[in-house]
Amino acid sequence: MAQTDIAVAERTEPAEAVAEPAADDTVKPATNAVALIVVLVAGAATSLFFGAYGRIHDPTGETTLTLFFTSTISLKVWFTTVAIVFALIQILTALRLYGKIKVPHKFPKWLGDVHRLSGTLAFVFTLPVAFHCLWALGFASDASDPRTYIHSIAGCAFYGLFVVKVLSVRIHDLPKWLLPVAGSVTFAALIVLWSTSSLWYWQNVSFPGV
Amino acid sequence: MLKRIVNVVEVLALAGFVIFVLLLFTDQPASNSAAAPPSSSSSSSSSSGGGSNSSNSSNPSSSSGGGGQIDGAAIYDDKCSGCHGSKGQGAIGPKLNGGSVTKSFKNPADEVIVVKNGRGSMPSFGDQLSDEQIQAVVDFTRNGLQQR
Repeated sequence: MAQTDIAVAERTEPAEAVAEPAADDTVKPATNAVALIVVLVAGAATSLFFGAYGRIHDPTGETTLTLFFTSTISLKVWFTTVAIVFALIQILTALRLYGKIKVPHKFPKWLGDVHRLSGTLAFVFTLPVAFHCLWALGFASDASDPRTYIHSIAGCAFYGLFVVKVLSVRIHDLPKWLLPVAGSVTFAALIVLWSTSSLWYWQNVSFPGV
Repeated sequence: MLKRIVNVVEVLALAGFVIFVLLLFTDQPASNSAAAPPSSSSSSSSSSGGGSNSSNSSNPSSSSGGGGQIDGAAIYDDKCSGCHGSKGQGAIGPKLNGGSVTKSFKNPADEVIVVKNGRGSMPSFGDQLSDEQIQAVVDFTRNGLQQR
């Protein structure tokens, strides 16, 4: 993750320059199929790793961090929400970096750094949440409870997608579509995670639930 | 300056991820360590000793004072409150207070089986708690929890 968005920022400048005519349109850099496969396999392996751990590990059912919250669950609800906020910032800054939106009109120098920082912080806030999910609750494979089932799958997928995103930033001869697609799908997975946990908690248990 | 901060945060995030993965493997609770032995529980009020079970019923929230009694409340706080809420109000796990648990499990033995073997997304506690401890926590959910 650490370097994830460096390349986004690095690619920012080219992205800014996208507005200019692509003079070398005919000279397309060759994409490395092997690298693409390696990246995808690494992502899949990460997801499988967490899924397998969640299935094999005997859930402890114990609480972990609470900090100033009344329970670990409350902490998870709010940490996931904070992660969503940072992820939203990252998505918005990414859209500006790629020139898909024009706000702010003048391209701020710090935008790339904010993009990196927001993504990093979003990731960091998911870690204690994921730890409790995996260590204390495990992988909910009971399809009769769709919420926890979907949540478990999305949780494992999230980290795999995240790995793909990180690697697609660092490895430069990958297809151009990979980074924005990986970023978008990672964000979508986080939205699914939040909807099936924090949002559900607020709707069914308590709000604000601190 | 901001770039430097971002670099530091990224390194810390990477370190955090490594710690996260390592903790998954190194921070395994020893069987029966969390709530069983009196001194090893993370809950300071936990005390046990291996005595019998349902004597908690009469004074379920603080039955740990004497020797040989198992504190169902402490076990509940340690093992169950994370999902069912400190007052049994429900969270990730279903609500237990307000008579919910006795409504769901008319027979306490059925509740014991679920605690022991797990059900759905609820983990099994059969390998973490002794039969006496499970009985104590079941008694607590049926009696003491309702008084919280």
